Amino acid sequence: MASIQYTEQSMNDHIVTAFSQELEQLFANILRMGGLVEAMTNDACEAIVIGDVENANRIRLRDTQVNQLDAENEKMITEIIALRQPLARDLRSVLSALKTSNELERIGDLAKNIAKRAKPVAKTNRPSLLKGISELNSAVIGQLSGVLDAYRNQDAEQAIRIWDQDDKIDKIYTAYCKDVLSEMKAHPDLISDGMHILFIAKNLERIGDLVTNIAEFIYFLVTGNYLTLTERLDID
Amino acid sequence: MPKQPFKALLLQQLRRDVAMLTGIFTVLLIWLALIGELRWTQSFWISLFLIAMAIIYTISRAARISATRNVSQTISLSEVERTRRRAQQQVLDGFSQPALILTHDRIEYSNKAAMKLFNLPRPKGLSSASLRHPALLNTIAKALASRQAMVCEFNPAYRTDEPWLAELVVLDTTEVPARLLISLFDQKSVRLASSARSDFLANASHELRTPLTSISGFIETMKGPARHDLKAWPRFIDIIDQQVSHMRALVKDLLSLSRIELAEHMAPTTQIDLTAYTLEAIKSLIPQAKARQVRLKPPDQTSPLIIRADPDEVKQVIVNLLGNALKYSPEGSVIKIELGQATSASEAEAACSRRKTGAGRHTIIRHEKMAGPAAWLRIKDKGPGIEEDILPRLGERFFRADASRGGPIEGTGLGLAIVKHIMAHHKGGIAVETRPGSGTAFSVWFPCAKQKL
Repeated sequence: MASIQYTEQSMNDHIVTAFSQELEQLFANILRMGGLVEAMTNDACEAIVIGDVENANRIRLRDTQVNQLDAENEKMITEIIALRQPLARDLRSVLSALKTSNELERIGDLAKNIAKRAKPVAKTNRPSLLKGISELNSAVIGQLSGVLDAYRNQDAEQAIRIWDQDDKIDKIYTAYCKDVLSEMKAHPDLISDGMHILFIAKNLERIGDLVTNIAEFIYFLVTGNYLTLTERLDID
Repeated sequence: MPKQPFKALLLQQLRRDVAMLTGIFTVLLIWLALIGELRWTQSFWISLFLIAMAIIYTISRAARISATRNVSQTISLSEVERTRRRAQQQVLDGFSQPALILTHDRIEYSNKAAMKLFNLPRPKGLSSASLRHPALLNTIAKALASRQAMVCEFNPAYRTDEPWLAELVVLDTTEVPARLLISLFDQKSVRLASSARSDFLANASHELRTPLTSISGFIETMKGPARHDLKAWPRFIDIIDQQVSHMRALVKDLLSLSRIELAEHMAPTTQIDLTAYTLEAIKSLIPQAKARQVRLKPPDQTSPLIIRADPDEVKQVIVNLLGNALKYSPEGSVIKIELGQATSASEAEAACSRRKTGAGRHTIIRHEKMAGPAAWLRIKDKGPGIEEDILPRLGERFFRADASRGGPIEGTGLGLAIVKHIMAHHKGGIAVETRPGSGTAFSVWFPCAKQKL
């Protein structure tokens, strides 16, 4: 598959330069949001692992910033569609921006939820249980960073690579869940901690799924095709 | 949070409308004037209206600059400015560490290392899209708003062991829009430096523990198995005495090293006569030299050489170097001491260097910006010499050239390190010349004090 790289022209060759600038600003807003949720997810997991409840509470507050950006993006997109009536690639980039913004907002919510669980988990008497969270976190952050890079570079090939790598997270997640469950069976006093940990892991796994969605939007933006359909056809 | 561009959008629409109306009215005015339908007052009012429109247009243009839009695109640069910026960008290319220049909210240029660090496909773009890291972006926004230099620590790849430090500097505080230079430093090297310090501590405590172990061992022997063997005691006590004096020397050297390091950033102010200090040091070492049957040959130079230096430190340099020479000199040999003056530091260095075939030479430190005349001191012994491949390691703390030989010569391993630090403090230099089997010469040079005639 030929990789279709983002060029300076693709965004700047509109007759109305203001339109190009609006698209670029929208694009930058999405990435700013991506940076925020990236840091939020990572910091929340770090706070969980070291048991820093105070920092976790601060991280929860950052979600409002993400929500605000999402609302702004939506307003901006509506305005662009109403005023500029974009077509072809412009339309695709506006639509995928709308959906990506939405997914990023959900990732922010999940990260907030992870941070919320720092307090009950901080008192756990078995810190070894939390080890898997670091592993899962670094896998998820790697995927999230990769998809945001792919979005910035408008790189369909990298989007596919990210989309393919989601199994890695799923595998880590299933193995980790098994470990936690067997610990919970052996030590019933760990049940409440274990449940929180399972939720944290589930949230991280969900973030991985949302990342694959974003990869699909990027593919759609660049090529105009739907990733799920084409890939399935390839397999058949 | 940046302001959203809707305000700017409205401004643009306003400007467009104003431009359109101005155009229509201008055409109308010309047409009416041509067919002669216009009275004097009417044309006056219409012209006034047109001027007002033009003023509104100008204001809307100016207002645009203050909005958070990508200002850099709309500003056209003069040829001179463009050349200047290109030169700045070329400077960035010369940096090995990542560096970027920002114009307001847009990356004007980023060097190769920065592109690699942030995984950027091209050197330009909006900063919020390209850098993405919230901590960094917040600091950039603050630096742009306050126009002050700032620093920020962040972790680009979210790996806990790889922190980076970003230094943000506003290039020209009067420029609109503001331009920022961001240079990034890998904090890993800083970590390494702090580990070097702890290495030194570990070394120092090891050096102190070795004599302690031997002392406590002998004391235990004297208390235990050799309790009644009084004939052996004097030998034990001699060894203990030796070890104690070694420890004392070590502690003294460590203390003077830390004192010199503490004062290293303050330039010496006193003026002293190098010749007098050298003669004095030679005199104080004569008993030691006699004990080893070594002759100290004093310098021919007797006229004063006034240098700007700290008296105690100069004394220590001469005593340390002479002490080293004495330690390594075979019995019955001569240590040659020479003094001299040269018009510049490089002249002094050249005067000290007597290139002979088979001789190795190494400059341990040299102050590059030393200006004016310099005084030099050269101390040459007839010792075993130093192998050429270990010359660069001289001056390292606890490094001993004879460690591998396991010779009988004892020392703290700090003498040359102290000399090196003192010479750095005095903005002078130190060099060594050596030929295995025929001797070693150490030379130091100090900047001369400005002579008052």
